[in-house]
Amino acid sequence: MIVELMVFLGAAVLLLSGALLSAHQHAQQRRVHSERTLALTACRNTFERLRSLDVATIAALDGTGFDVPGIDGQPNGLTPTAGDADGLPGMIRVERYRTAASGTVYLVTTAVRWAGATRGGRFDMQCLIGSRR
Amino acid sequence: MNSQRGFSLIEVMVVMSIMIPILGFVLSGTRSVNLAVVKDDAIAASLESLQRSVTRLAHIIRPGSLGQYRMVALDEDVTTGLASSAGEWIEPRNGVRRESIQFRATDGRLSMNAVNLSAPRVIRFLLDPSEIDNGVDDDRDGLIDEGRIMMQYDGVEVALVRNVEQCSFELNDRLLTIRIRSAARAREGRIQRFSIEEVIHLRNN
Repeated sequence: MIVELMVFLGAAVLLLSGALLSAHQHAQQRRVHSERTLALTACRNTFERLRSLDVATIAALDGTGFDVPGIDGQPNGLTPTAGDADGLPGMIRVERYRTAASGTVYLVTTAVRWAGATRGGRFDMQCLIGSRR
Repeated sequence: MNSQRGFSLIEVMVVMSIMIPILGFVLSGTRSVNLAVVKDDAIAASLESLQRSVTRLAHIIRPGSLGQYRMVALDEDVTTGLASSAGEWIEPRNGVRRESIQFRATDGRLSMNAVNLSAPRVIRFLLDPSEIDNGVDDDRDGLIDEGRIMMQYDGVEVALVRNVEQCSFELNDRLLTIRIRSAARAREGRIQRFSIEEVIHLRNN
């Protein structure tokens, strides 16, 4: 009798744990999605800001950090990973992609690394930027 | 002789008395988790919808001509002599936020550098009829001073975004920043507010 009861209770505890774990993972997945959306928006806005600059100044921005606003529009929407040098989750990387007589084209990457809902999130966006003819 | 026997009434009663509180706990927990998931999903859907709307708004404004960009004049502009009356379309000033703008854009049939521009298009924030601009939730739906973002073009006016609490357009040189704030009802009836900022580089002169 005791064994049957224990088996039954064990099954109930397993079911309960499964339901709670499922709900927790669902919530975590939604948070990951929300964080990735913040990172995407920040990367896209950073590219728009870069487009408004003189192309000659783009290379100097290599290694510059940028912030990711939160869901409420306030700064520090995402937490930078441990050991981040400038304390900003976003980073601009600029590489010389091609140089011709007409000018230089740069491969610009905006990357966000953050400590989020899971072990950590990462999002990269790339675009070629050159002088407009 | 059959060694198997059924449960006695006492055994069943003991098991039931243990299981009923556990089942009650499970059902209660499941119900609250379900409720939370439904409300969180509603917030996520509202946020996603707002993001789509802002992206759409950005696509509409992106081909706009910087030289034709205008912002709506307020009373303060009349006072400072920048406008003759409130509501007039005036030249934009760097760093000044306004709820309504007017612009002309390439019409989409020609290239982005086309000389031909559309007729003036207006994007404006329109307060809902049940709301007054007083910082109070007049219609008691949880949103404060909410309204719609409307677009006027070719004699037609359409609503682009609804349930918007705040909307502003700010020009800095060639960069136009669109800020929109909305809200949705979260857990336990509280209102979760969220803001979206989209930056557009206006490339046409």
